[in-house]
Amino acid sequence: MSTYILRRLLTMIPTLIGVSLIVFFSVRMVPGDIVLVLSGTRSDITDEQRAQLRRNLGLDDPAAVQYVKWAGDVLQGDLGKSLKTQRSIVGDIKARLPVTIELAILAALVGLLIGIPAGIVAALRHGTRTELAAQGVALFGLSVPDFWLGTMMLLVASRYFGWYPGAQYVSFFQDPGKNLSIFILPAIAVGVSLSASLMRMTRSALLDVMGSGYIVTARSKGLREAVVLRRHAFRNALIPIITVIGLQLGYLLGGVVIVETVFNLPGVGRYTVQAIADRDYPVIQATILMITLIVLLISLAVDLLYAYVDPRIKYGSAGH
Amino acid sequence: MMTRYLDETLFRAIQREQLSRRRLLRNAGVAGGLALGSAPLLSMGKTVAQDGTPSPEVSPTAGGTLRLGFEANPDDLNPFTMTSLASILVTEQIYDTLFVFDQNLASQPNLCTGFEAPDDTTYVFRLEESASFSDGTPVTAEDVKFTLDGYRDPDIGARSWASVIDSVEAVDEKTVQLNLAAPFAPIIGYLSWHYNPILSKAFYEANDGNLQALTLGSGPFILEEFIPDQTLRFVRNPGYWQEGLPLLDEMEWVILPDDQGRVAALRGGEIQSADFIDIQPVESFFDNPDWTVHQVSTLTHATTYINCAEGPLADVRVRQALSYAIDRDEILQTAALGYGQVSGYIPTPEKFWAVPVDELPTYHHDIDKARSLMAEAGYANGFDITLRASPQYILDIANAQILQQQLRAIDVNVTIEQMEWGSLLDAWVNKEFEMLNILLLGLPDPDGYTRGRYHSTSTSNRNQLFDPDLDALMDLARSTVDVEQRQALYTEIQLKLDDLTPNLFHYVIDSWLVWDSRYQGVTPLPNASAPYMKRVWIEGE
Repeated sequence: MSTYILRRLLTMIPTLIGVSLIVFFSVRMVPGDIVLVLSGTRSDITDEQRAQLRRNLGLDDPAAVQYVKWAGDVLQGDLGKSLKTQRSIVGDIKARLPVTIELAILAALVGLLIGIPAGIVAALRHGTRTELAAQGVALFGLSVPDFWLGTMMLLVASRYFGWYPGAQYVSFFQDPGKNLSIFILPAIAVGVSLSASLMRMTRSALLDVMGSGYIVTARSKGLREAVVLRRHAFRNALIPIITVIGLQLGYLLGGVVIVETVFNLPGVGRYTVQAIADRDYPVIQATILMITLIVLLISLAVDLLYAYVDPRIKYGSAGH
Repeated sequence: MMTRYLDETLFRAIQREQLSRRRLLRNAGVAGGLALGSAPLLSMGKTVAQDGTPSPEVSPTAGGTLRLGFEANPDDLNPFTMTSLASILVTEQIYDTLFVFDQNLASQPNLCTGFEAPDDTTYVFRLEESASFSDGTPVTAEDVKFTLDGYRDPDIGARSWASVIDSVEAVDEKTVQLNLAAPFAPIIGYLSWHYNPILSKAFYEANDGNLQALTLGSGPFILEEFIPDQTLRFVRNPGYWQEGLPLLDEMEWVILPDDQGRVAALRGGEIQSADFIDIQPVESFFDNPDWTVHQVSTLTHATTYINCAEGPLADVRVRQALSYAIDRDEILQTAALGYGQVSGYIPTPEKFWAVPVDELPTYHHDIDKARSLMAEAGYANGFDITLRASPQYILDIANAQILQQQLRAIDVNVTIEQMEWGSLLDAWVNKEFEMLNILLLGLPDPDGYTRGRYHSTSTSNRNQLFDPDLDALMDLARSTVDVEQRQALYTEIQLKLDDLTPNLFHYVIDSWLVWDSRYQGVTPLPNASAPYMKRVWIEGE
């Protein structure tokens, strides 16, 4: 097992190098740069002033030279400074990652709490109106964008109930109550669309399993339906569900940009998208690299979970 | 000092009565030529005193806190290097300028008591005796010299306007003399602009020029805390050199980029003030006594750039034909729902300088004239052209679509090419366009709207317009110090520009300020600055 993990970790290195190269050179191919974006349409800023700012920021060096310098810094754990704010990117990410992780976890919880029971009910009540209703709700969850749902909840809460979750982020450790009140609406907004795909996956996986021979055997042994479901059916249906959760978690940790913007949450997604709009190259490079690493780690964790859930799956030095 | 005027009649009417929005629209209609928003500021739902001083029966009380929803994160707080509007709006509260624009956009003395000009290239300023930085040290002639030298240094401030300064002398502790290389009338405008504040030399040197993280100014507020993308907390500068100001103890600017997020925060009582460009989020605050909505006519002007160097548009007759063919009022009514004013080369709120648009010949919508000009130029059957625009500002796209429709009347077939914002800016700066839509920000002096954009030697001449007569006129206007003569020259320049039609200017937009009605002393300016913050106070505090 540990050799397997080590091997998987080693194969991440070429992936990360590849991603860093693609990101580094592709962002520079996009027209416009930070100096242009920051000075915007102010026609009093002359081209000489812009050239001066570019020199100050080191943007006039050849791209290859910039890459080597940057890669060297990254290897020493230095992700550099934002061109826009001159702040340390490591510091910025440290401040933002907890926000994104908390939103991802809470949204995943909301998704699981709604999606899995609804999926089970839909599968057990196969062919009834309950299933139809559950599927209808799932379709709604899938179709409605999370940012629309978030905006609506925010406007209804503030307009009709005079309640606003707070415009300023407070960490969980500073004030748990305030922190949760800030996160509740965005977590529901993101969680509802997550729950829809979870519900559909749970339902189809369970339906698939419920028809198999060992469930018939379990039933004919005289086991109660709840035990059949818990011990035999659900456990076997878990593999595809875990896959979906893993994929979604990877997506959530990349940041839910518009929801972060609507609720003014200083997360990684907003940071990255703003950096792209601003052509803040070091920030784009750092965040994409970090998100890549997170997705790779999650997919490793998901693979390891498979082995835990289904003992038939074993990872060894000879592969599986 | 030059004097400019407001539309006094409408203004007084608003002061006297509480005009509802609908009534205001009706009145504006009745007044004929008096378009909605023709006064720099109109306030709805509540009366607001003209100069920010409260009406005599209620005296302002000091104290209290303001929480304000701020749209963008300031990227750079170092006045030497900052470029974005968000940074300028923040530093405006911390620093002071030598002069300051009043509501009519006329320069008024601020850190100095005024100026004397012994000749066209010499300006002498006497600093306010009491002027001091927030650490108690006085603002001296040395500080002014240090700041202006920094602005003109191409490696530090690199301000193009400051390159005209030949030398700055600290005559004595409170007297500064500016020696210009050539007569440059816009100088006072630039010194009034919130982009060019006065810095403390001692503080800059003690901190190795690190003004990004550390600030010390002579402004009404001290920046106590800045959490990027979250909040800026200002506290009152207790030793502010202007007696009795500021009135608020504390201001917190919460960074809320999303329009709906700011609406929700206002409704939820989280913030008491927010600005909007779009009318839609503001509508729910109309006709509600708890909220005061200020409709502010801005200097932000919507325009279509024309490449004058290539293709059919290199022919001046074709450009004039386009100008005759478009109906600017329809563009304003349709794209911006009428919230703005049709504008020429100098934005309409610059009433002292701007030639009224009905005096610009090509502004008279005339399809027959346009057709005959097209035929004269050999394009009787029209041509195809590409117009670039970015959905970053929805107005740019809306303007493009209406323009596309209107130009069909003279068989000019416009293809709209939508571009991402940074890419559009790149195309604009590098002059890679046939036509290009953009919203331009206001500038401190008519020189910027004309010479800065259209002089043969200006690197910001994006249209590639080269006209020696126009160059000579603009050079003369720049060096003419007498205000009346200058005004006459700018009239001539605007007529000349209308004749050359390097741009199709459309309109200036209105912006919207929503304030909790308990907050008094809000007197918006067309140039997106907020020097009135120090006079804001809370009724019943």
